[in-house]
Amino acid sequence: MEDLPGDVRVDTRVVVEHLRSVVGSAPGSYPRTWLPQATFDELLVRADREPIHLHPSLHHLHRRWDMGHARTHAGSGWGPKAIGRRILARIVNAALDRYFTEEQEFRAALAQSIDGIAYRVDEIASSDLRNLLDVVRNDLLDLSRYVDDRIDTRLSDTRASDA
Amino acid sequence: MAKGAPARGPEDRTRPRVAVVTRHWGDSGDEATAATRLVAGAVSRHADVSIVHLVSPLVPLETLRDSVFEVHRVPVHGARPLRSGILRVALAVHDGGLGVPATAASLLERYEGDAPEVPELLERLAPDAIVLAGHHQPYDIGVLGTRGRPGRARVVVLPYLGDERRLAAEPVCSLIEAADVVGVVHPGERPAVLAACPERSERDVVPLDLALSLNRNAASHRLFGVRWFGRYVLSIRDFPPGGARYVRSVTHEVLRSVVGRVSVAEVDGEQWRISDRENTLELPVSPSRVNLWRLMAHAVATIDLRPPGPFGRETIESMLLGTPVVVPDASAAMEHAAAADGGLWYRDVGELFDATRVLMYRPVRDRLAAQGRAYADAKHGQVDDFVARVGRIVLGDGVA
Repeated sequence: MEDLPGDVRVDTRVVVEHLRSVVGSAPGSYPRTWLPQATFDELLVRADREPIHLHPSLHHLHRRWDMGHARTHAGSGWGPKAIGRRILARIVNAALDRYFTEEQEFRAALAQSIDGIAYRVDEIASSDLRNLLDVVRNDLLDLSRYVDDRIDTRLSDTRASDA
Repeated sequence: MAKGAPARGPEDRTRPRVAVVTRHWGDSGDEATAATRLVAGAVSRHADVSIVHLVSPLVPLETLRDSVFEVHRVPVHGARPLRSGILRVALAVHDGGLGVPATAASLLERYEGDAPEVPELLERLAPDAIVLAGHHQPYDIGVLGTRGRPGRARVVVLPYLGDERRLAAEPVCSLIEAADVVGVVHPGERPAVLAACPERSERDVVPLDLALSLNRNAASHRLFGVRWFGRYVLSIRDFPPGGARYVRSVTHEVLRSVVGRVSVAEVDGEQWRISDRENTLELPVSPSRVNLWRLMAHAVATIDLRPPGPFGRETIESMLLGTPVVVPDASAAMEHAAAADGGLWYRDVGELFDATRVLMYRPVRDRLAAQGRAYADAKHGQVDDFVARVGRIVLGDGVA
């Protein structure tokens, strides 16, 4: 996708299948840049209750957990202030490297755990909905059988009286 | 008896006469009604058109004038649309409507009501061709006669299967069996009809390729205030106002966070707005189609969040305006997007975000926009071709 040479036609079926295969092959690869799993349950999306996984604070967490860029960013510019800042950053990073590494792991684990809990809660809610729909469906089918039986009975009454 | 619907004999005919029997007529802005009006309009260029409008709740049998059309309003007795809807949803949600028990199927048919006046009215109108627009035809279709019988009016069925294709397959099949020609409104409908009714030949199932005329000049002007928000994606949650909608499918705020620095414009019935990270502007415009085009034409992408319709009108319009689309999977809109290679589609919220992010990448977006526009221009942008095509489909190859 990065390179699109010449007038090559983009086959949208291939693009959609590619996206699905990427998500399907790594369903547990969280945390990463925020992206809800494509296995999201449609039932849940239509539910009255907002899915936890779409909560803005979870989005915020996924955007902010990674300190990697801040730690490796060397800054720009060659003025005395910029050079001084770079030197200071190196000293601080070197001194606190172990702490920063632990902090990074902790934040990753935190994001991963909260993400997992959110999915689990949404899954449970989705399963409840599904069970409820099962009950409604069975009730409706019972009702339809009952109505159908009544109609049959009435029709046979009519035929009997006609005879 | 219908008021003002005189019986006509063959002697007073100067043009062919066509009857369109449908539930989809009137002021409703839904897709099936739009498709029926387009077809009826095209047919009226070749023939006198009478509309047999099946109406529920009950109305008196009457004849009205609507533009060039003579409209016969016929009541549908005993229709239970709410119960029918509940049962359909309950059955379809689990297995996509596959394996509907016979009891439930017969109950569904019963809930759709009955219009016993239609056969008599058709007999009096004595049309040369009958167009059955929509698969809901609640009367004895035996009145149409057997296919191939000499002297029978030509019968054209437009099933508008949409997302109900599986559930509706059984009742639709007998309707399709009675038709001389079946007209389909999106690329996926043809294989669905042929799969459901394998005895029909491919030659009898023809694409209508409905033509849409757009006011490109009006669309070239942005809505007031939109320019300040820079690039934006357009999400359609409810249009035309009052249509079917999902509750809280994807919030405006979450969608905005997915597209990063790009703004989000939202069409939600009567309420239209656009926002970036800091500002929101309620757009003080009437929710008209021209204003929709004005938003659509300048958007990075059009994201359709509505329950799928049978025709995918806004998808075609977006592609005609050179804007790629993100649409629901297994829908008429998706079939257009796939046939055109002019957009992407989603099964769920995650895939919706995936697809939207892909369209943030300009080379892909530009390519899809060009492909979509080429397809839409060729298939849906030629009104004269459409009028001629519909004439041939409805009246046979003898039409000029």
